[in-house]
Amino acid sequence: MADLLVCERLWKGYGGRQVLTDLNLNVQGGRIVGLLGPNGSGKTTLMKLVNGLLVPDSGKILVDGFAPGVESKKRVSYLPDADYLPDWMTVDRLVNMFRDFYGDFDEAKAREMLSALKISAGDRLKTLSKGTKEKVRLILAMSRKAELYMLDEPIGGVDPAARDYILRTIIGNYSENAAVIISTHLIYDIEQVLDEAVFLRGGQIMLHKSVDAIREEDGKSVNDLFREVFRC
Amino acid sequence: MLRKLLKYELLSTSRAFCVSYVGMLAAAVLLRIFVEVAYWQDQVMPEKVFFPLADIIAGLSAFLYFGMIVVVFVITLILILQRFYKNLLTGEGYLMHTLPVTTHQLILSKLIAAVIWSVLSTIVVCLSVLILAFTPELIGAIFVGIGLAIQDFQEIFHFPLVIYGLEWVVVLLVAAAGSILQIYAAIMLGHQAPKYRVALAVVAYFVINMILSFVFTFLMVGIAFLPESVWAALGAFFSGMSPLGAAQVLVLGTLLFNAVFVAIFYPITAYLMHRRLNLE
Repeated sequence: MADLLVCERLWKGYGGRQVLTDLNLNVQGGRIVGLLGPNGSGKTTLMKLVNGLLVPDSGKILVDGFAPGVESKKRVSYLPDADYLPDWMTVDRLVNMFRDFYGDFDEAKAREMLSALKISAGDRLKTLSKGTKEKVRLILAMSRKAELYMLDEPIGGVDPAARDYILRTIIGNYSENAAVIISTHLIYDIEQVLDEAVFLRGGQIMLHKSVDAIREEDGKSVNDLFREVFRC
Repeated sequence: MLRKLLKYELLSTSRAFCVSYVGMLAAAVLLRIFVEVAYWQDQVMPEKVFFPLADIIAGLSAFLYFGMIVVVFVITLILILQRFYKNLLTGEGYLMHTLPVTTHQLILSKLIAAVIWSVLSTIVVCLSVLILAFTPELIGAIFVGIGLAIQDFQEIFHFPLVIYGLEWVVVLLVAAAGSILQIYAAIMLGHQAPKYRVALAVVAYFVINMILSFVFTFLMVGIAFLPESVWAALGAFFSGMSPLGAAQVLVLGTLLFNAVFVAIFYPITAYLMHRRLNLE
């Protein structure tokens, strides 16, 4: 399988500190990869770099062979850890907007998932509860037939039932040859869906192994290994 | 893509503008009505001593009218600022900057919408003045006046007034774009700081203004020190010119002057947004 994401010798510093140091990461299609690390380890910075929201100090990023730009953005579906959808828009308008801008957006699927959750298309985003907003964001992101999905803390701040829904939606909706990168510190919940785990500390990749290998060779769950590696 | 971005720009602000435009025109109509009533009352009962009610109401609605003019321009400015800052540099920036569009398309969509709204606001205020001054004869007088102006212009300049007018419209659009881009550049400069970005954007704007005045004054003074030969050459150039030539030089000069602002502030805005974006 080709490498959908290639990060080569990435360096990024700001605010006076070095956030990513000589980071190298390759992710293949068809894999669900967990980007795991404590707060401040550089997970969000890495995601922003891949999405062209930050420019690296040096190094190379290629998404399906494209540097971050219009072509890469067509191929990446990004779910940031932020309130990023315009509050004043109705759900319907948001769906239309995604359909207008993204050629790979599956409008029918999005509307189906929304109505399954009994979210009315006419609702303005600002009238929805936090958990419902998260689900709307996730549905919009996962309704794209992207090559690379990047989900930044998709299950933080929601109740356990909503978490299950979110994880099921992720599994059930990504295109077969696509790669999914999920950044989180809630490893226990995420572990069940991961193929590979990447441990990030101090802006460097400490470990990049398949979950199966961790369980067999290290004899631990990813969660336990994480606690061991990142013990304070 | 630019068209789609522009569509969403106009969509997001249209309600606020329509409401304020309707309010503006309504205030004008109201003022007109009350002024007419007060005038009529003056004719019919010139000795009203105790009952200047119509005058008071007319006065209040004049206050309301001028207030609405201020409101329209303030809303226009606020929305221009907000659409750029909030939509591109706060949470919504995560959406806008990951759409498959270029930075230039993002900036242009905002700029074009801002110019459109600025022009529309000005037109609506002018329309309101027309409402205030309206008499049936006025329309006729306006048309006659315009017709005469076109004729006279053609005689003196041998050139259609309409086209010359359009040239000035272009100049005004470029001037509007220049002012708006100065705001955008200031916002992007403020964005470079880790905190107090809005306050620093305001500071940046005033600093830019100061620098511009300084440069302008310097140039004006400097012109007085140009050598005699340059003045002689300029004199020869202008005296040998037809009236149309002079008129066109005026337009061109003003256009270039304003284009310089665009040429300075657009690259600053685009560079900072493309290479120095830092969303929270």
